[in-house]
Amino acid sequence: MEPMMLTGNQAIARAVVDADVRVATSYPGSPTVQILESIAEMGDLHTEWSPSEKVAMEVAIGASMAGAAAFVSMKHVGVNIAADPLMTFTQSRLNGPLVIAVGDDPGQISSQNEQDSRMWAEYGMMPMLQPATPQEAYDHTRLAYEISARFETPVFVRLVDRTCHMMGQVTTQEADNRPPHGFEPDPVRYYQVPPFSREARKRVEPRISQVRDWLEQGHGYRDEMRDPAIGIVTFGIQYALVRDLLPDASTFKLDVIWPLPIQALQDFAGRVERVIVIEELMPFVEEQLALAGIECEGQQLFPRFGEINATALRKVFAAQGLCAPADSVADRSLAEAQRPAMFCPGCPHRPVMVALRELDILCHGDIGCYLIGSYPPFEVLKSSISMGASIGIAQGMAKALEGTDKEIQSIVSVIGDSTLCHSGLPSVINYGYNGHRTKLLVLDNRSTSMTGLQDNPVTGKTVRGEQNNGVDLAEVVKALGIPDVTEVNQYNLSECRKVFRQKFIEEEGPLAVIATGPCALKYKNQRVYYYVDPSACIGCRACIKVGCPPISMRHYPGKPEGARNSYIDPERCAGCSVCFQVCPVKAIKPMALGETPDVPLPLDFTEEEES
Amino acid sequence: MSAPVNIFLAGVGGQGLVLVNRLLARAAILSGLDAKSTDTHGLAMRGGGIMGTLRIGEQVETSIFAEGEGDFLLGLEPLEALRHAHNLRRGGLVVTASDEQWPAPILLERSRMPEDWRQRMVDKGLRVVAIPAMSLALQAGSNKMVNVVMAGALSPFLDLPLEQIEAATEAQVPPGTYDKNLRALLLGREAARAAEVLSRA
Repeated sequence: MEPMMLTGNQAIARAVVDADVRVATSYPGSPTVQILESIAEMGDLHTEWSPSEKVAMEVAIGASMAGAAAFVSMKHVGVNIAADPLMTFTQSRLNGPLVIAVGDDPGQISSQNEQDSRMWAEYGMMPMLQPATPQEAYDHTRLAYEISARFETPVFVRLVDRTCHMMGQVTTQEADNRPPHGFEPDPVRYYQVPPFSREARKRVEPRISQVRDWLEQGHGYRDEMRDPAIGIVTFGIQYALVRDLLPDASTFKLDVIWPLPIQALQDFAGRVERVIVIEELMPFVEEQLALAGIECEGQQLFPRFGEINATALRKVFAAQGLCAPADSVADRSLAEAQRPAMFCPGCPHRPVMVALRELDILCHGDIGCYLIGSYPPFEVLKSSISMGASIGIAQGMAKALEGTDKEIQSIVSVIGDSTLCHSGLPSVINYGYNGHRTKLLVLDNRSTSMTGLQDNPVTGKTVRGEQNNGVDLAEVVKALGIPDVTEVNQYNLSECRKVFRQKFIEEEGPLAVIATGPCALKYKNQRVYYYVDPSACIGCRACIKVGCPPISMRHYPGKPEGARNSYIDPERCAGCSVCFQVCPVKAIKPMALGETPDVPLPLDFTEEEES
Repeated sequence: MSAPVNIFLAGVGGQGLVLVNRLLARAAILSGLDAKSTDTHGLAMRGGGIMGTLRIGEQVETSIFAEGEGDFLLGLEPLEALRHAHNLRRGGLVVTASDEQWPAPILLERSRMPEDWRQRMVDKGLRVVAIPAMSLALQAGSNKMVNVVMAGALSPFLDLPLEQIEAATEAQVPPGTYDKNLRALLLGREAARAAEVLSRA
């Protein structure tokens, strides 16, 4: 078949469609977001953004019980909540194959922690594969379905950011045809309570032994003898990097990364003088080799956290005298200023943070774009742990300090629409049940924006763009135990300030405020843009303190040496008016799109135009 | 077999760096070569730094290369080009947009834009081509096309036929926008050809 150009994520989607999967589910999480979106583009199977990874896993389990091929994808932290159904379901002898794609994140490129999902494979005794390239992402996913169907076990495909977002040529294979077997009740397979679950449990070890035997027959790895001086055991991206850096080294390349073909590895180790294990995060392979009595190096050469990228590998190999050191011309200090993420122009979270910043309250944050509210110039949000945790954390902190001299008068949990639906709602129930009095601020921007503007249960729009019933968050919050719910359009900053002051300072909790401004990136509704009249600007920097990318302090012609006044880049202003509302001297003014104000430009722009 | 050409790309979230990376990878494959690209966009939030790597050659194992191994650096913004200059080898070529997008620390006046960014890279033994990409993008019809202008600006330095770069552009840009994106591509290409290559004398 003709090769296609696909990313790792797209290649997995293609493989899912070609494996004749009938149900594919996910909750968006970097780096695996685009898998489900691509499945929806490529195939006509049932595809859904579930409200959480746990729901996604359960829907996929249901499809597997029905004897259909099922797929679920998530980021590494998603497995934590999906693990509840999975760790029991793994005892079942599967009816339809189930493959779980999990995106790990060594180096925390887009995550709050580093977890090594290989632990889940061993813990739940489920085989796991890890591809390096888009071609392998396709091939491994197809192989994962073969293994899952043959051994009747859930199978993981472990990914990292680099593999998910790598684009390359992919040749596909002939598609499978897997009509669903249908559901036949069988308590040992599906009713996981004793005595059935005790019986099911006994069958797990024999199943994984069969997988191991199959691997030892030469499947799921590539034993590549070259120079016997060095033998490298590795997998994923690091395999490709090793091939580039040490093309003569012998390599034992794992496709299936758990369980390991220990006898084949012993055989390889016996043929080389020195065994080096290269694996990111935990010394997982290394420890298993050590248990099998295979002498190897790993941890003493590589750190237990962060990415092992090309630079890090070259550094270690160069220190060992195996390759030349890098010849970089420049050091890393050429640019002093860092570039932290900022709220987009027009973002509805900006006026919220501006209004919260003015109040003497404690705000806990959650997982979403609003985490930028913990950075300068806002520094409003004081904690963020995991999806939905802002509510329980506020409740516990308030109870711990109640009646002491450390008591905090007003604690507010700040959480977005998708995160609230994901795992905030049980904590909302906890307000009424356990008498918690903290306050809830829901940022309902009608979008799961941080992962790329996905729809969610609040919009009611599916991954295919079909309009279903959305969730009315105000009604849900009321019904779950907070009767006092106020909605506010935060783009009206004075109204927003008034509501926040009343609700967060003057009134007692429990209560909820829902800020209804929609995501500016997803719902574009710009009518005007704003400009600065430098003759009116007093240089007070009130506009700068709203932290908006197009607003900077510049030197204008005719102004005294060193004087700086505000300037708004017209190409990037989204016209939200927040800067206009905070300007104390009305120096910021609206202008119709396509028209140009009659005001001077700052000097650095006029100079550049002249040169 | 000759070693692959290594390209590092750097810009600001929202500028469309991923599209440029895929456009160039596709152009290479259409030209009968192998290519692999990777983008590191972290979260989809805007305003943060974003980077990518691209390797083009007869056979490419991975898109990833080490610091000091880059042949080209394509910058969509000069501060990001400067930040990632250490990825280039000695004598490597930086092709960057000159339009500054100040990050939060500079906007908040806690840091300053290094006005000598060209010279800093030249002093390290790099060659630098700077392109006024935003004005070319506006000339082509949209402020959103700085990325395609810069793909055009890198194109004369890559050994790829223009025909295949145009075909890749048509395949990568949104439907109905090819004409103005082609204008942007060609304006960038011409500007880079006419531009002075700054280097240590």
